[in-house]
Amino acid sequence: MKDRIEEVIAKHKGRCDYLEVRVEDRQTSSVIIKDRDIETIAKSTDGGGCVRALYKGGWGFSSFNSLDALDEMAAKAVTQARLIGTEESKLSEVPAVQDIVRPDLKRDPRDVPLKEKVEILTGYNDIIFSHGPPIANSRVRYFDTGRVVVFANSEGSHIVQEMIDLGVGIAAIATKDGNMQMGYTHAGSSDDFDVVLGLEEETKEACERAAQLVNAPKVKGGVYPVVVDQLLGGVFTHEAFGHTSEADEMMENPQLAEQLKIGRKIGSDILNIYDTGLDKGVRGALVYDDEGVKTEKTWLIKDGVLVGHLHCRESAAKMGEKPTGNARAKDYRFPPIVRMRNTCVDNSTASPEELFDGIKEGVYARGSIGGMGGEMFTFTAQYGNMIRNGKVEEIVRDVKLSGNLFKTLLNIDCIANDMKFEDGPGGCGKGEQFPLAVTDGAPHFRIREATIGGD
Amino acid sequence: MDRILKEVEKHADSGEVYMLSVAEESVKFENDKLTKGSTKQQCGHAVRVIAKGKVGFSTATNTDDPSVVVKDAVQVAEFGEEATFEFAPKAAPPKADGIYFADVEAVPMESMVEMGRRVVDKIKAYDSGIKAHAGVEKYLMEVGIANTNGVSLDYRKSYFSAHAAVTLAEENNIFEWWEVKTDLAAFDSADDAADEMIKLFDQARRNVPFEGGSMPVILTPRCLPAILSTLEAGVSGEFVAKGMSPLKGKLDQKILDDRVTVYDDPGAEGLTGRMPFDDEGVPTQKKAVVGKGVLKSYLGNLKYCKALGIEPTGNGMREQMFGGKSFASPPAMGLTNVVMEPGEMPLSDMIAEIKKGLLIEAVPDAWMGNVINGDFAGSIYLGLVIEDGKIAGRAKDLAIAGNIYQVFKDNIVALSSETQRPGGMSNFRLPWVYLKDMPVSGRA
Repeated sequence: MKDRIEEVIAKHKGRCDYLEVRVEDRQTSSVIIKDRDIETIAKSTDGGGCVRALYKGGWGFSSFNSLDALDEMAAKAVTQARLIGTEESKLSEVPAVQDIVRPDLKRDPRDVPLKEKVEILTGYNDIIFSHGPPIANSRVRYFDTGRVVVFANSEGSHIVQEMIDLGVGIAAIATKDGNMQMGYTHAGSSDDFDVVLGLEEETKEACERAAQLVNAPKVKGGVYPVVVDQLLGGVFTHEAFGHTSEADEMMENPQLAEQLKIGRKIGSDILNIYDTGLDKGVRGALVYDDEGVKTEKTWLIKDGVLVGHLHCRESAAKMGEKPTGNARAKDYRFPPIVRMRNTCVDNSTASPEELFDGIKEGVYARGSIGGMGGEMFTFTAQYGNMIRNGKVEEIVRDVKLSGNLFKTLLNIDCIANDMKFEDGPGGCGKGEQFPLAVTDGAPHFRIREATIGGD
Repeated sequence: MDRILKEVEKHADSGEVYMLSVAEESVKFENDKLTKGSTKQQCGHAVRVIAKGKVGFSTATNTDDPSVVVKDAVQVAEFGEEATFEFAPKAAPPKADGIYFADVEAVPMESMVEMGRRVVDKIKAYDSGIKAHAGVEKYLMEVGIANTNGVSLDYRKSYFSAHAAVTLAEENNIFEWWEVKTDLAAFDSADDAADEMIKLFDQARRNVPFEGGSMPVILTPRCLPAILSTLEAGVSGEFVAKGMSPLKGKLDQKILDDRVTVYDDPGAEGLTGRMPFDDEGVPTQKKAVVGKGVLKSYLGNLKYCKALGIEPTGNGMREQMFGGKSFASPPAMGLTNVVMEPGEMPLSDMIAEIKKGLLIEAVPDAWMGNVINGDFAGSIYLGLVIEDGKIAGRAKDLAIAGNIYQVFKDNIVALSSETQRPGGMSNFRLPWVYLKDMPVSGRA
């Protein structure tokens, strides 16, 4: 196949400024248990390829399933680029790479028999049902994917990457008087099936939480000081700031780039945020991105000052910054766009207990169900506790946090020293490319003032 | 499909083969410039089998050897659930009229570029200081389903879509707004979408201070689909059968205000969710979900209709999370077209009588709450302030929450006499919903 790809590139590269081919082959196993049934047990194979061509600043893209179509679809991509482009092509310089990357796995999920996977998941499901009322339902979901991606371009790069990805999500669902609440735990990895093991305690705790939540009052909507836990803090970082750092939106919008320019004091002095592909084993780890650029650790905020953006080769060139290796595509059906990897708030010095001092009435927002980003961000906590006079008090439900990005980052007035990475079976969405494997990390931190949308 | 079905007959007790084939072409303008052209072709098959009484599922893009995907499904079925349903029975093939328009296939990329360029020019003519985005897309799909009961059906469907969008980036005001136009047949201009988008953006670009509280709000057809995801979850056969839905045991009972009537209507004129059969091969049918406030139907796939002891409703859909068909997952509950009946109060009268309130255009994350419960809660991405009967501008940083079984029962002041097919959700036709005493939190 290498020769075939190289042939096609050689044939068509003369008619454009840059050409790349990506071919992918993927196998996925998944199990979804709902209540007492293994509702879905599936095995999937998926393969295909795509071609991207750049001509005078315009991109053509084609994707297909059969490699027999490679030549024809490469021609199409080039023809489209030639129809579109009118300016100068700009791509930051990166070294051409010839490499083969095999994963360094602690335990390969592909070697684990399906029977064993089903037993482990059924075990968690049994724990959920052994809790008894008000726990009445469950959702336990697992997937693993092994894929081989071949990337080659007209600059002489040829990279073969074999990667695995896996995740498990365990939900205990309690129902009382028509009110349904969930307790949730999860894990994920890019190198070790065994992260799926040993979640018995977390599962029991999830059951406890769900049982408490059905009896808990809804949080009263309003503006409060809020302490977020590591899980929610990580999602906050991703939604509230991570997406805003993705430079493909701003590379042709100088006004937007001005709002997010290097040097702007965008957060409090103690805030430090980075995005990295280097943390081996997390789902958001990468070696090369989907433009063949080597990954790195990219600082985004240091001491509250905006110091970096996340780039693809084009955005880096257009903004005069270094490429960062953040160009990722969900699969061969899509072109790469700027995406996150493992996005983290770095540790500061406070102990987690200090964060609650001095709060007369506030909310301790914990765990995450998901969120959305932008100038106004929003995310849903799994649950919360009221903070009264510095103490963590009664559990409350339906805690949704939203706020203005710029105001909120400046309002982070205390950050703890207990950073954790979080991985689950979900992923990030941008455009149509959902889900993409990413990781979030954060310590506990406190926001002086945030809007909690409740009752 | 036939080759795969033959393998199913060889290796399993019964089974079904689903085929989805898509060809799409699009052009994109970003930040005033034509930047991207794209051509995608994909085809995939999904196989469900019942083998030794248990259900297995497998998908593949390469079916050169049709036995592989079937053997995979049979292999995983060993651990699958006991089959409690049967695949769709053979029936007269439903007609698939008026959903495939050959002219879509013929639209050249150059015309799509021209259409997008006119949108960009319109936006720049309105305000050269903001960045304009546009896109035009054509989409052709073929869906096939065959099963061991003798079902063998397929249909072709076309979509043609354009979007107009802007990004405003000022100090303390980064705001993106968009409008989408989607039809099944090709159209030659998206100027109307651009005009709609500009009209609303012009009102929204001005920020006004605002204090949250309990107040009247008008939910527009644009924001309603996200909020109706609560009702969708509530009537889902799966959640009713499992006792998770608050609508369990409430068929033929009044659950909402008697002005509320909502249909799942596969044949609705002008809506893009038209399809002859669902993704299990069950003919789709028009039915009232809620009729004058009374719960009329649960909706489900074959498995959950059987569990509830109801006739299959034709709502077994294989969809991606944010819309669009996918062969990657087994069928779950999905709607065709959603039509909500209008009321009697003109929208202009609604706005005119509100002293302090919000016209809510977008609560994009409303579906992320505890929707099975009926709870919606989300940040108001675009809320226009109504002050003494007039639109005053946009209020940022607000959130709204409620439970549809309470709000659509007790808080409805009126439904508008007008209805609209929202651009981004072209399988809905909805009125404006005027509510009183809604809790809006935050301060702009």
